[in-house]
Amino acid sequence: RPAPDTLRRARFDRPQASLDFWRLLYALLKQIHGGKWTDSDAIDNQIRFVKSALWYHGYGRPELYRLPSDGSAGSRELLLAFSWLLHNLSLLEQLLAQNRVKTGDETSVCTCEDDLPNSQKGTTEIAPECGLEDRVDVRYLQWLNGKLKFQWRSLHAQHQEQCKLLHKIHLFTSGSHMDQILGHFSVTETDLIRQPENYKKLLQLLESETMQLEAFLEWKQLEPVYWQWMETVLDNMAEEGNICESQDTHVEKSGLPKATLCCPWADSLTGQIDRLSRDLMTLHDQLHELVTHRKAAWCEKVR
Amino acid sequence: TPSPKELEELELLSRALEKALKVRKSILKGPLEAQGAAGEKSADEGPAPKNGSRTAGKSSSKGVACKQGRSHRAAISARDREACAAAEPQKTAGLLRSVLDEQQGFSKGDSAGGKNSVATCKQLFDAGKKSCGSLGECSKMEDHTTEGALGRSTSPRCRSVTLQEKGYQLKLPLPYRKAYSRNSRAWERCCLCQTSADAAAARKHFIERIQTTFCSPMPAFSPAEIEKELKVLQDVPALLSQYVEAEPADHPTLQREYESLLTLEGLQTMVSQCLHKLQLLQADCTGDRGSCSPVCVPPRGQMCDRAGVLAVPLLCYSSFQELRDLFALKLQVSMLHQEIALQKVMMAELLPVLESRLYPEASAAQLYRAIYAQLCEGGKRFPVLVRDELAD
Repeated sequence: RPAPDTLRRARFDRPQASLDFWRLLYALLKQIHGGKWTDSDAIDNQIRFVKSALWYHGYGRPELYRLPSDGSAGSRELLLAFSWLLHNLSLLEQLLAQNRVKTGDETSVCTCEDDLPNSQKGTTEIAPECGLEDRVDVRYLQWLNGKLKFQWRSLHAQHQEQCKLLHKIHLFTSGSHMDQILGHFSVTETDLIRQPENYKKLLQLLESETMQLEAFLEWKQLEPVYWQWMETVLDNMAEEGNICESQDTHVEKSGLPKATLCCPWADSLTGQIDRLSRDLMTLHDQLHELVTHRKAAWCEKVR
Repeated sequence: TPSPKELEELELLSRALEKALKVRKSILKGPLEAQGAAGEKSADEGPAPKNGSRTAGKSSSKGVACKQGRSHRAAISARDREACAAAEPQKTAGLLRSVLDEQQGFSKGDSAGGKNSVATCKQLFDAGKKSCGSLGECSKMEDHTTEGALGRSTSPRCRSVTLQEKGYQLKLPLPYRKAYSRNSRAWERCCLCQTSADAAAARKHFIERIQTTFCSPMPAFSPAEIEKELKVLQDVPALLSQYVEAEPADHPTLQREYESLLTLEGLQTMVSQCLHKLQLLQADCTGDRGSCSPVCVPPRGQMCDRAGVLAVPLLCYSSFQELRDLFALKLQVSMLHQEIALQKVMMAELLPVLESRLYPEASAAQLYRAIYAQLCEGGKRFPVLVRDELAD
């Protein structure tokens, strides 16, 4: 969405380009992190998000974190960050893959646990069972548990039903698809027959994606130019840096803003690490004993 | 005498024909949704979607009238129509034929031009059927105007067919097919596309340079990397335990015993390595980390597998059972994840209750029973408690 000119202006650190760049980074990073975003999010929220995302991915230029929260300056820093992200996150590839038009029936075979955003909260809130002096009846817990089990079973049944229908569609349409390997229509494609408005939309999506892919291929051709250009940006900065280095030295030393004492992220991770360490240590001791024992026995036998 | 079903179908057909006449007489415009309604009512079983009826487009008397240019028509020649109709095991076939003959008369007025062409019917059925001659290539769907004309034509229709019967003959419109193949090819090219050596070198140079400007002792692991590593390590203790358990206590031969010993030592090394890694992660976690704002960590996206990001592998299943199993197993995995999380929380919350002994003594037994059932039997089985007392 930003004009090509924005990049050029950013190179020369023009302040007008800063806001656009913040917004761009926000949009991109939000997508990467699976979130929804709107243009209406306040700029300082956007900036905070971008900063924390960059920190999360290990971006280490202190200048960026010191940029003002009203988005008034720093387009060059943002340009640098953007390029770094291009490389480090395989930004383009990631976004293309993520936004891929779904014409087929898809499922993921990933068995990773879904990360619940608030799963690590300390105090769980137990809905109080009718006023037993703020104690909770364990039977309420049992009831909830039963309800949960029941819902899982219903879900299972529904999934199986969906699976059956899916299979039917595949079966009935096999032999029709132009893609030989697939051989059959997906649910989406079959549904097009009933809903012609969706057909137009899907067609448009496909075509625009193809254009994006072709643009990507072009980009790959021109990539060396981009990185060389970025180097000139660094060169410019280096030159300017030499001029005003003396002013900034005392600021440079501070580096990234220090971690505050209570960082929830670090805390939860430390908790995880502790638990893992404990488990591994137990295992370690267990193994140690076992191995020593076995070794002794072995030596006995071999003697 | 015709059966009630036939009567019904005849009724439908006549209604459709009437409407067709009406529309044709008026200026050809707009989607003919009304038409569609007429054809959708056949009694069909099950969840199979009723779709695309046989559409007889503007059929000229013989031969396929396939007009190129802006308005494409799907045309089935009458001959073919009859043949197709004959293939349908319908008693109303005869009825159809006569209706068609009538309809043919109307199609003369059909003009080639006109943006709001009525006959933008999508030809769904391929000429695959041997009895129907060559239909095929006229299946172009022109979508520049009347969307609703999909499968709705001005012609009478026979009973809607089920997907089951005709699904294998379906053909998506040509624009879609073209777009699809172009899209697939583009994806292929992108997957195969590699970074040129020049680009890689220039990029590497830039990245190295910019990283020298990062604040000086950068931790070895970025927060993202820490999380990723931890994720990998989560399952390790359980997995390694399994391997340890799998080693038998006794061995038939000395050779086997020795191998077992080596395996165990190997496992031991692995555990040590993991522990070491954990220490490194811990250090980076609590060390001199950067800004931790309250909006601290963005929720994780799907950063599952970086390698081969662009390629989406095709998952084929060879039987219905497989598909079912796949769904069922995925669900089960999610469920187990949730159970584990719940179990952890419950342990943390419930066990202290038992230990604290704050509950009235009278209900102790029930409490134990409930908590035991919840924590140890997954809430499914309740132990029977027997009061062991001597009745005086």
